[in-house]
Amino acid sequence: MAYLHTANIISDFPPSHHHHTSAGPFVQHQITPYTNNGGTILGITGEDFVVLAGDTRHSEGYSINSRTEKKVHRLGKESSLVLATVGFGADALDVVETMKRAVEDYKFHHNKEMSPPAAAQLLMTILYSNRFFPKYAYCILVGIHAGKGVLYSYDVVGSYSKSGERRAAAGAASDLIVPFLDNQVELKNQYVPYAWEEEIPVQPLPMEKVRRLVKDAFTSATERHIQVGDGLQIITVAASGVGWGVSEEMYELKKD
Amino acid sequence: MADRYSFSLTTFSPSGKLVQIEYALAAVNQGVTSLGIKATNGIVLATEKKSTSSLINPSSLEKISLITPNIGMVYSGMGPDFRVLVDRARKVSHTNYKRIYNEYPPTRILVQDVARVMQEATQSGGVRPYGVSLLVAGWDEHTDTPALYQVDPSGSYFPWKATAIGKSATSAKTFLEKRYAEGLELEDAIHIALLTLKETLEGGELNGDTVEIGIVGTPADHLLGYEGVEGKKGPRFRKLSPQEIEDYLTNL
Amino acid sequence: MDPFSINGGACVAMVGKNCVAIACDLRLGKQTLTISNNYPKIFSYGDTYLGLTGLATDIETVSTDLRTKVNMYRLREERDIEPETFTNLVSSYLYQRRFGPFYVSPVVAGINNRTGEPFIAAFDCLGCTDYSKDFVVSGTSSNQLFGTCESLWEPGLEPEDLFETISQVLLNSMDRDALAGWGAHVYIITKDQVIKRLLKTRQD
Repeated sequence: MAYLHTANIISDFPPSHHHHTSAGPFVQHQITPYTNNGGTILGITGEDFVVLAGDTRHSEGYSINSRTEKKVHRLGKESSLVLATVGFGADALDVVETMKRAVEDYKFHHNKEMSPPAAAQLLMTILYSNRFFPKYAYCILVGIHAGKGVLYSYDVVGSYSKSGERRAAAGAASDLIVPFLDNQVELKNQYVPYAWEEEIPVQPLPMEKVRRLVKDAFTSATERHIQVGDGLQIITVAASGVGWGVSEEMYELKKD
Repeated sequence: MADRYSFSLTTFSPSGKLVQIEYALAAVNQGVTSLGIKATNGIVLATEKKSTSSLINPSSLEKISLITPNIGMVYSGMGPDFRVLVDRARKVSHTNYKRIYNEYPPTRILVQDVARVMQEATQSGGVRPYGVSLLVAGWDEHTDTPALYQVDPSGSYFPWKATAIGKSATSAKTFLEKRYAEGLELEDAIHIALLTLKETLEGGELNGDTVEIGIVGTPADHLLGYEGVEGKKGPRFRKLSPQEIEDYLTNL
Repeated sequence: MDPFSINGGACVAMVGKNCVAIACDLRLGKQTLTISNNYPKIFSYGDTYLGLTGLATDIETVSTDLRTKVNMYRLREERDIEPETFTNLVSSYLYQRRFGPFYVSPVVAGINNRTGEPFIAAFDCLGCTDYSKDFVVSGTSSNQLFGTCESLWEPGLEPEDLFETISQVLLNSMDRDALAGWGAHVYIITKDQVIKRLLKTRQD
């Protein structure tokens, strides 16, 4: 790995003036603390469920490290919380691990599951605690709260909306996916035909429609973005009675 | 100097003539006759190939030339001048057209470009006009029609249904006027072309070595050098082989 | 500063069933400052349409240079230029400036007058042509346009459906691009008519 190389200053001391025109005897090497590992994540809420998805390609430059690396993680066996992270793979996984430990810790201390609003606040605290050497991880956190699907999305230093969002996308192909979501989830720029400037009212989408949108968004992104593809992991968290059910679907994406 | 106006530079005479051009036309009118006939589905260009010696290899003489895959050209007058014009025509068809539009020029556009070259030789210093008249035949893909033009040393050009240039142009044209009919097909046109040559025969007999024929017809896919590429069409202009000419002659 | 994104702008063209559509935004900006909300980026050359995004000064130069060239072509050939031929003209013209390029990303749309075939193409600033059977995009919103086109476009759209598709694609894409928007023009081109519509859009 490039950033592990150190300068061999011994062999270059005293400096050979035949080869060096620079003033000092020391060669300064720079390390690169971040790598962009590509990939995209996407979450959409329904009335009493939420869907969180991410592709499974893990890349570095033009190389593919893995076609099966999952980006969407449950934060506990008994928890409705699901966290998806994208950006620098190592930081992204570290954020997930930190959250998993915190969720487990919370259960030991309080003998109950951490609520999504609490987890959302905690995630912000974790991300902001690295304010001056940020974890390069864009996060989308979802869960079931009071029988409703909730979703929070973050920038790398922890900015998020407390009231949650209807949908979010992050990562390499978010530019491609977000306007599509604006149009199909928020129904932006859609008007009632022949009614003067009457917007089509936004309603919560049924689960099948949401899954369809997620798959369409990713197949489209796969078509036009080289860092997106291989496989799609779709996790659905649905409220059922006082609890919830979590299901995972794997969907094939193009591997080129 | 016997003649006050025999400068190499083309200059008006007091009577308003450019005598250098008239001399060039005189050179054309001493040249071997060439003719062209436009049919509904193509064009034929024909000329006689007269060699001064039986020792000359007839296949090395070429008087009808391909300019673009769809355009061919024949001349009457001075052979070397023709070769220069063929070179220029091939060149300008690329520089003025193909390199810009990635397609070959329509016949009229090429004719105008060649005519400009010939006109410039009547107005530039230190040069003489070209001693040839040309018949240019081509197929225009955008209208799906054939086109036949004559270009003279002055740079003037005319579209024709059928015409002849050179020594026996007048009698050949009279003959063509009698034989030409509207709605003519290429096969008939080739037949008439050979009959016209026979009528105005200047020397020797007509055979595959003494007659040269170029046709514009359906795309000659066999000349493409490859097959199986969708949408690729062969050249519409091609020369007839001595054998093909012999076959036409035997059916005359 | 990247010359392609100083002034901002978006353009997209699409193929439908016996029709094509081309659309652009109307913004002209100086970085984040909007200078004008009536700066169309689509130019017509007979029945062939050209969309130009990129550096505004080069949009002016390229569109007028091509106007001269197409007018000369019309006079010489005594006919309108076909979209395919125009595409080759744009390509060779841009490549002449290989080592000092115009900072524009052109898009061509039209219907071949002889064959009736819909035709679209796009170029980079050096004239490398991107022929496409579905859609082409250009401008500062190109990522957004690619995403929406890829998800909303389908083959065989009738003119009115094509209009709806290209409009939704452009509107939703430029709403996510701070450098594009402020009104839009849409052209729906069929063999025997061209409909131009002005879209009412967000003004931010």
